[in-house]
Amino acid sequence: MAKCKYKVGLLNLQDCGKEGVAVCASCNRPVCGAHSRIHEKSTLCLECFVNKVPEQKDNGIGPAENADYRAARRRNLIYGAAGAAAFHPFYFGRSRSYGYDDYTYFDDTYAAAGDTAAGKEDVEPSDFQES
Amino acid sequence: MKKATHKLLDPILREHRMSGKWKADDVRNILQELETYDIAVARKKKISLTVCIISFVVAIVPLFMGFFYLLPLALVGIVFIFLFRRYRSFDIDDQVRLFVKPVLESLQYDVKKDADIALNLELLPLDNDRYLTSRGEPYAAGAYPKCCDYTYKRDFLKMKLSLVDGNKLMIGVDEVLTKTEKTKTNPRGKTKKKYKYAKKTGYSIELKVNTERFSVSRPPVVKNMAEGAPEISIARKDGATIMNGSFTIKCKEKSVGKAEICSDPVMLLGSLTQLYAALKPATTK
Repeated sequence: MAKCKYKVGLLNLQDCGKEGVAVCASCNRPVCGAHSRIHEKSTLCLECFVNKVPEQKDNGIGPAENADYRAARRRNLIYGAAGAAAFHPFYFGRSRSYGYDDYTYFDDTYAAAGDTAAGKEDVEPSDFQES
Repeated sequence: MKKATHKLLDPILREHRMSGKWKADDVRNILQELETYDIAVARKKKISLTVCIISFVVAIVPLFMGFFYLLPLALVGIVFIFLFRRYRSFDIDDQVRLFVKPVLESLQYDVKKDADIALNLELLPLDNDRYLTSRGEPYAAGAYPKCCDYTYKRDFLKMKLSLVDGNKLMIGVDEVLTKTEKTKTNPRGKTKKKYKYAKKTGYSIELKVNTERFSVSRPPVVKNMAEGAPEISIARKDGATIMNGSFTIKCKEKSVGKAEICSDPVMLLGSLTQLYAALKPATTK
């Protein structure tokens, strides 16, 4: 399974990067256990979950395990507020979050299409030379 | 409770103030433990108050009517009155768990992991005598022949954080509470007291911008700003770019319900995002 692609943070977004355990039924990204919730027998990432499920009684008190859920609720409120409409958080992708798993899908696609040159570059330097 | 956190928590509870520098994980653990402690104290306070009331009705009043065999029960009631007073002195301001903890929870991935968080946080409720700054002269108002205004003032929170993007953030919250005590005597001779609370909370956000990564563009001037929208100013100090945002919230309450006049973490975080909206990557001209 690929790494969790849930974006954590408020001002600067980063990939969670933990081992994914499921794929979000709504946005199709791999998510870890901490950033997924079961809703109507399907797995959703926290972001899709807070968008679909109305707010449950949660006044900020509770165990630390739910901290990500509460942070997602607040982030949803802040990004959705009219006053903060102009705000687009910065995304600093971390190189450590991209590993072998991220390229597996492409290799599998190539293999399924019968492309024997999977992993090699399709474009040669000579292609850019003027004739 | 973890032993290490317990060691950190003891001096904080003794002084009713959280002041110093801690790692982000330690701050999170301390706030979690304070929340657990506060909920436990509130539960014990409620139980002791209930026992006091029951013993007063069942034992203390009949005792004066000659039912002396109820004396042990009356003594239990008196013990619980002292217990209630003791638990009340341990009370922690609800804003610690309803405002400070949510703010840090939302910023937990934005704060640099190995950097220290400088925190100065008051734990006692705002209407504690420690924060009483002035007591007005008694005056008469309408049906109430004796009214008195009490003013409480404090710097509730000062927090300095280093963020993962190299920016440095300072959050400050100061509060002024005016408690009006109105007293009147009804025709049966009973004295009745009524309280009104007016609270003014000032928020200030300061962002020291990492100019290697960001450039600052002046945000558009907005007329008729909504409540909670910060007034943003940009200044240069010692070669560093500093953005300031500040706003004030006023609210009034008739009851003692302190939880109702808690600061809203979403409002503060929303203002912070508005400051961030003025930042551009340094490469973008």
